[in-house]
Amino acid sequence: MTAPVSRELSGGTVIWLFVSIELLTFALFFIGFAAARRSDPALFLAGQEQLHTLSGAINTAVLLCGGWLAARGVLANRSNEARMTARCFAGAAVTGLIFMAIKLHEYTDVFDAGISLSTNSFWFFYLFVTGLHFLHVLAGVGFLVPTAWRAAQGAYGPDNSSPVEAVAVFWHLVDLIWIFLFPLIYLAR
Amino acid sequence: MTTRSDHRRDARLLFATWMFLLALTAGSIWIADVDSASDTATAAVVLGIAALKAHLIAGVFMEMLLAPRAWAITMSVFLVSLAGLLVAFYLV
Repeated sequence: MTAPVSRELSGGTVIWLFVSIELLTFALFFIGFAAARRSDPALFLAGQEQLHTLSGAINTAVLLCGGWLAARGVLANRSNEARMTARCFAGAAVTGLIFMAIKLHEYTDVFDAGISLSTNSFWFFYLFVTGLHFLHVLAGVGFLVPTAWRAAQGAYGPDNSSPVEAVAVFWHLVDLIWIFLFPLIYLAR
Repeated sequence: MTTRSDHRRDARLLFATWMFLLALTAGSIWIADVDSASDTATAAVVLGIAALKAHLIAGVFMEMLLAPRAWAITMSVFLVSLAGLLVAFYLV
């Protein structure tokens, strides 16, 4: 990637401090999940068998598409391609909406089965951690849409790229968290 | 502003990274599906693949490859440590 001549943080230091705190927080949840699973592997295996791996896989692919679009949008902004930037960010927002729709469908199945946060430790971690991640996706869409709108108005460009980069970095954080969540909850047994 | 050839090269890098990420996802699902029993080695492999994917996202999409070295190294150490710790819970 070419953009900055000197070594700089994409989006600025503030967003990266936020990303660091978020990553550390989710890391603690992941470690908590793995530790709880270790104390009762059969319970966690039974819970995992009720999940739809295909939904998780599709959602992973959807988020990766969104990540690519956001990165492509940052690149377009640096080349002063306002419409392309707007389209890429709008496309990333759409992937967020698809992700949430699939996740809500999955939650509906879980709640219809009478499962709640208090059912057992597997379902507590599943609902709490994926729910928290869901809120991050929602926030990401909330950032992407106005950024796409403002990009279309020509509000950004190579000389004003930090807001675009910061939103993209947040969106990639959402992706990064899911990259660990998916194997941990759906695949690793 | 980037030059035209820089732009094309960067766009190709982003596309290749995206494709590789999708391939790694498919690979980890396939590995988990082949050994569908409670296989701790499978858990280690899929979590290892997750660490590799996280490095690609951080390095290329989040541009950690262009970040100050201290940030890039810290991120890399964090991702490897997290994956290692998670794998340890499955293996030990």
